[in-house]
Amino acid sequence: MGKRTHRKRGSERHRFVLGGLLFLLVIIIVRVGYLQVHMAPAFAEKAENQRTRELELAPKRGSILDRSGDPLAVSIEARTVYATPRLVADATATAEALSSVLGGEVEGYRERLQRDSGFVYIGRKVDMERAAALESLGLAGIGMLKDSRRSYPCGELASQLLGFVGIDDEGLAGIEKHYDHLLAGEAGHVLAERDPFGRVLPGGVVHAEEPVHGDDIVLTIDKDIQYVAQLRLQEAVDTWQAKAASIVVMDPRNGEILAIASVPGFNPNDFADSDEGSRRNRGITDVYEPGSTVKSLTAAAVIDAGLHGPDDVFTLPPTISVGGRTIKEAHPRPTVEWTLGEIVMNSSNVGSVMLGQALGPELLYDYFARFGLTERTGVDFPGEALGYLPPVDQWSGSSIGNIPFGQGLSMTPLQLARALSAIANGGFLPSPHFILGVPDREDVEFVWPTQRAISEEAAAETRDIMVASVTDGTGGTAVVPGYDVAGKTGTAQKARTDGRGYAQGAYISSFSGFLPADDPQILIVVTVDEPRGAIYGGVVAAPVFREVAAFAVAHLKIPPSSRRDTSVIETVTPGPEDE
Amino acid sequence: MTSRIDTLRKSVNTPLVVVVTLLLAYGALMVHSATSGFGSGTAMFMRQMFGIAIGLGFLAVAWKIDYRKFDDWLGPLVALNAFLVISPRIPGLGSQVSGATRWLEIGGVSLFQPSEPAKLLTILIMAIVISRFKGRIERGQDVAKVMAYLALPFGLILLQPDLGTGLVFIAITLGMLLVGGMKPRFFLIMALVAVVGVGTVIQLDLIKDYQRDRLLVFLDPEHDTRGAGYNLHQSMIAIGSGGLTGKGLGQGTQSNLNFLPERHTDFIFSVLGEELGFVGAVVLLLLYLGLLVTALEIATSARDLLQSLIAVGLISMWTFQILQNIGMTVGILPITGLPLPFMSFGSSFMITNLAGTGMLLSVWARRRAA
Repeated sequence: MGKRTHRKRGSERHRFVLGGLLFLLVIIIVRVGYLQVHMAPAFAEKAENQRTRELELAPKRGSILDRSGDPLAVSIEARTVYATPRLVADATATAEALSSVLGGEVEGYRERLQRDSGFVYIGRKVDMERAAALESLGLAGIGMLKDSRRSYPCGELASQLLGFVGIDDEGLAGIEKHYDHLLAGEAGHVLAERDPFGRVLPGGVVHAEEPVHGDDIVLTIDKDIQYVAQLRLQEAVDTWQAKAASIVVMDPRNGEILAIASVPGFNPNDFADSDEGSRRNRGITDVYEPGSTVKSLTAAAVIDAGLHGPDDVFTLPPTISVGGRTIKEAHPRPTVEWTLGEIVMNSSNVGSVMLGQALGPELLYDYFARFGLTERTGVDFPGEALGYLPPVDQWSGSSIGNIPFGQGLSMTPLQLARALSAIANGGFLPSPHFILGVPDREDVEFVWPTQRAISEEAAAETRDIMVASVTDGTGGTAVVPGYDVAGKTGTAQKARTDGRGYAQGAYISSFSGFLPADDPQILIVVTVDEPRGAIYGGVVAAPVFREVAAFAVAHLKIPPSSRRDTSVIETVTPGPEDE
Repeated sequence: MTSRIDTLRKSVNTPLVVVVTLLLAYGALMVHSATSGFGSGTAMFMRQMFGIAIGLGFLAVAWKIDYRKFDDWLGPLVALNAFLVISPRIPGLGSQVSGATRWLEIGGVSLFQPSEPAKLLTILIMAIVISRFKGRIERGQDVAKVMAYLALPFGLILLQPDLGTGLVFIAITLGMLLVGGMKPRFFLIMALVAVVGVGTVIQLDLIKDYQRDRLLVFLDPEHDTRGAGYNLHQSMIAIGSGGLTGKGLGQGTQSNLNFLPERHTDFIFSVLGEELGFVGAVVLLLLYLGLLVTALEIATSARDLLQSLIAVGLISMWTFQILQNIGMTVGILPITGLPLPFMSFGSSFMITNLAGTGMLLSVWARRRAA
């Protein structure tokens, strides 16, 4: 009896156990089904994200070459060093090893190595030599990725022009920025399978898209002329203890800029250590009041308008009164009778005012606009400044008494170079530019528009006046033996920064000119900001012009052609100057 | 001749043999897939095969034994069990693996995990103890006596420390008490004691940090998925991304790319879930149901209570381990390091399960005449 109840009860309990087992089984199946059917898409996506990693394949940035193909900026192979902190065995020892190879603080590395992260940067753009040294240490948890670094093999040469790139090789300034779309190329992408440590699995590439490398670009810059220009400019700044200086060397026939330099300069290989002032490409980004240089433009306008010929004679009083203001000469003189040419040659303020009066405000403004003084040159460089020429309706009574000789208006040295090009090349305004071409891209073409400013005859006659200005006038120190040089000095008082008149004793000395005069191929504008000891353009700026021009004609093998025998260097003392 | 085959057919429980064979094959397949990504994958797979071979030897021995004769050996069995459980802590015998000493090691050679045979020994001891009440455990002192036999190995295993195996001991005992005739009200009392006990332990901060982490992760699976919650997170991603039919054998990306830790041991179900999908998981669960139902059938037809209880003990052991293991991989139970019977990599464990199968065959061979 007892045994029967045990069995009966036992079998009841067995059924209970069976029921319990089935119940538990159902729970598990429901849960597994929930994960694998209902949640499957979400988990599949999680798995995919965890497993694959999109890597960017950096393209090789194009090189920047000078006009003869010499490299000015190149990208060289480098490495990005990273760490996977959880694979790092001994953070202190590893940090010390990193510090000894890469430099930098041990503590900084150790902090990064102890972060709760799967990936931290240790160093970017590490050069190959140090990367190899690091590799040979075989540090656990330290890895490297391909990278590249921008190098400027010529150091400070044309540094303000070339600009620099950021940590991701993006152009931040200068040509690097302006032509970033050509230089940068396109990044490639790799969708790769990886393990939990982020390491890409060999053969685990799911999808790859090769990077498109950037294009090399060729500039109009001539490396050798650039070098001499920079050297001579620096010498002038040192000699005259000037604040700054700039030089533009251009081919007036087509607007190709052969050299452009500013002092002070910087080394783009460590641009982070440079100050903002040293990175300015002053020939393009800074405006100044040009002074007497403008007298050649006024003369050209008078000739082109047919009002006077170069040999027309003017009777110049010692001073002239315009709009209640008395205009004087830089160096007092009695009443004289000078031709139009002599007015420019002797840099007469009174004469220039009379020429301006002959034109009248509207015509003067119109001609200056035709010389490009009311618009940017459109040069292929970021941050071009625009000079100021007041519209006629804003002219005061005395405006006609100072604009004709270069006061009350401003421009960049490049704007002036462009305007003078019209006199040099037979009357048309070129588009200054830096790019010569993109050798590997047939689809990229550059069109540089030109427009006529003055007639060919007016240009030729003005050229002769400017030649005389150098040989017999204020620009004597610009003479290049064997060549006829056309040019004009300028010495302008700097406008006060508060806009109230002119700063006492602060001048910008300049010289602008071109050669050979009968077939101009080189045009140079030199400005020196606040020289000390001497202020005259003929003394401070013209020698820079002479040195650079002499080198350029020799370097470019431009045959000597002089209407006069200047093979014997005359000792020329600077002539009288204006204010 | 015919009669010998008949005798054999009568003495062998064919469904059990078939189910275990299928489980072994399924397990071998999964271990092969899970270890193929390791550098020493082939060697590990061969080791597992070797473990199965040894296990089959133990199965044969366990099959031959008549467990009734151990009724007189309770004292020595308890002593042996206690020794097994504490042996890894004896200097010169144990070896430490990640904070716990679970292996028996002699002369620097790891032999086996003594807690594995201790499970079978505990089943035998409990079967002897509980069967003596002849199906009536109605007094508190009876329950206390049974609990005392549980307390010894349970207390000692916590010293290793190995909470997972300790819980297996408890599960074994509870299952056997249920079938062994304990009044239902004692289960309620035990549940109450358990709740109060666990509450006290947590309140007094007696649990270890990793145990607290596992509990936190269980309560909030998104907690710290890169640290404490990593295993669970990865396991659920693997299983979930397997979908209905899986990614194919050996094609489990989460498993083979090392995202899934302990994939060949504690998380083998996650590999299966990823590679063979819901279908593969259900097949495994049905095989387990087959194993347990067959074992229940054997328990029902056992000649006496002692042998029936042995079968029930094995059912309890497997049920708990299966539930606990799969439950943790799918996030419905906290993580404890318990492997999956017949599937997970590990020789001690495999041998124990096969020896248990041998015990079932022994009980079946000596069953009541139908």
